[in-house]
Amino acid sequence: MTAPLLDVADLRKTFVVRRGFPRAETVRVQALAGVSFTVGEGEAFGLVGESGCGKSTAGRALLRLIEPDGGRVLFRGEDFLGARSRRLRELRQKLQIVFQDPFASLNPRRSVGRTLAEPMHVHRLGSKAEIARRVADVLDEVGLPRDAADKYPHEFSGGQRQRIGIARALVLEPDLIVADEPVSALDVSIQAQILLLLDRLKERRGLGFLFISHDLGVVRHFCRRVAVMYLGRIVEDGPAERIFDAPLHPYTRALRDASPVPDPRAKVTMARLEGEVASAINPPSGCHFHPRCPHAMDRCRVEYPEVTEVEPGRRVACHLYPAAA
Amino acid sequence: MTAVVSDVVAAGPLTALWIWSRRNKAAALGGLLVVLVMLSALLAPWLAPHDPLEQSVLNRLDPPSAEFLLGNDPYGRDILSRILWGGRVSLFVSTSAVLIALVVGSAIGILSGYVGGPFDRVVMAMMDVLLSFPSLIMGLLVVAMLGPSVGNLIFAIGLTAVAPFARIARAPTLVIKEREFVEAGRAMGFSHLRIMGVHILPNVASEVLVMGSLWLATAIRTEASLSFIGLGVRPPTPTWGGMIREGFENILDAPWLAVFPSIAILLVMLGLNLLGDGLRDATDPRLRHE
Repeated sequence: MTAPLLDVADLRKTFVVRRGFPRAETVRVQALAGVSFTVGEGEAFGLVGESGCGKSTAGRALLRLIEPDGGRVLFRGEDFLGARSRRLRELRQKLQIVFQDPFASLNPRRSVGRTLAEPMHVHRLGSKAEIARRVADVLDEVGLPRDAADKYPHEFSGGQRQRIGIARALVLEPDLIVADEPVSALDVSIQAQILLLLDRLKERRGLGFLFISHDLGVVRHFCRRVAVMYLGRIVEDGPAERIFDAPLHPYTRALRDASPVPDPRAKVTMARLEGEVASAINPPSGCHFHPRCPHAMDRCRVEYPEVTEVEPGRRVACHLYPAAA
Repeated sequence: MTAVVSDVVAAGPLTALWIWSRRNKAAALGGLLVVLVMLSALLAPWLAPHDPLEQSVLNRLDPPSAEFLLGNDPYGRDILSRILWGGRVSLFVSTSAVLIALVVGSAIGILSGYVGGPFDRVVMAMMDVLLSFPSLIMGLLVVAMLGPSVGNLIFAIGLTAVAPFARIARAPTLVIKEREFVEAGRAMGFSHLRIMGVHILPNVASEVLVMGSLWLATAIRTEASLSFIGLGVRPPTPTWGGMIREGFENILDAPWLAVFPSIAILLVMLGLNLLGDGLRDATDPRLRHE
């Protein structure tokens, strides 16, 4: 079997914060408590969860924008976390990121053309003329006029800026794009356009995507497989339709019931999720979800459930689904 | 609003400057003052009616007259010519000092803010130590230790201004390094040097330049103060501070000796402060969208 495009295993990250006055206390926030998943060639893999569950940290840690504390990230079988300077720079070309906030993700003092050309200059990908041609091509590809190259970010709308952000991710010809809430900051009508653009890129370029979002509708549309995160751990993963049509983990069920369905005839179901997201500083004992879980048992309060494969390609971490004996 | 700005830009930089001046009258006046003083210092060899070093016993302590517009000093030298020539020295020393402090201070500030952690804390503690010396005392110390010369004077004044520039460059760096375009740069494999120089520096530049114009005024004052207490450029080379001190001995008999160089210092400091305030308002994003 060939290695998957991206293989993340047991990724860990704990933030250490000192806070309080006059006696500062050291507080540990476990943002990633061993996250594992794989993304196949040309596959769109979704990572969903509430805000603060660590999904964005996972995206940044696997790209080494935040150095993870432990775990393994293999890109086509090659160790990305252990890669040293030269090789790391080469590998970085293949893994790119698109950000949520199209206003913060572009340097306000650089024209779009320079922003797009810079990575190619840095990696010495061709002569000046070739780079200029590539910039024009990539602007075409993301649906922006060619004269956009001479303008500055503030002259564009949010949706157009997001196209520029996508164009910047594309110029280095990556094989995987980490899309961190790429449409969450946009109007719904613009969201659809950007999603269509990402769809087209996926088809035409065979790009793999790690799609991080809290919007289940968007993830369901875009992704083939999905993992659901809660407090730094993946609680359930599997094919997108199966996860959303027949969720197993009580958290996934609550999440699905709480997300709005764009159908006027659909019955409005009240959110069954009570209470706040538990604190990652002081996670509850046992299964982190038990204080909010309608099915919590005694066992849930003391023991974190193991990840169990319940169907082929479908795993869940919950005591309701004991491992096949 | 953007449409208005681009129309102005399309009409040419001079028109844009004109429109900006109409909106910021105080800053424009300041800019005009600074340009006039700089020009008069630069063009001193052509503007000065007399040799600033030429002595004449006949004219000693003469009040302003038709031939010597601002009067003469105890050696009979022409005050106007000495002010014009003295401006060259005063402005050269203070401008070089501020430029050096601006470059070194911004580099330290950006590096410190970008690296962060214990390195940042140590560097900033060092800057706080520098800041805690009043600039005049610091200048005094350095010049007293190294001896008065133009080079040492520049070094002394520059040293007092490094810490403020480091602080002013560090603060926006802390904000900008968390922005996603910096993360994007790292994801694309840019070096730290490139991120600091190409992506952070231009976004810090406006704050630093405003600070520069305000500190130039302070540097001129420091230079004058050091010259006044005799630690500046050696006589007979004219400097504004030195002229005030020489005039001070005859302040009751011949007040024009000290008054005219003081007015020169006043004008350039007023101009620089007006200009600096105007620039600060113009670059402050909170005031930009009124």
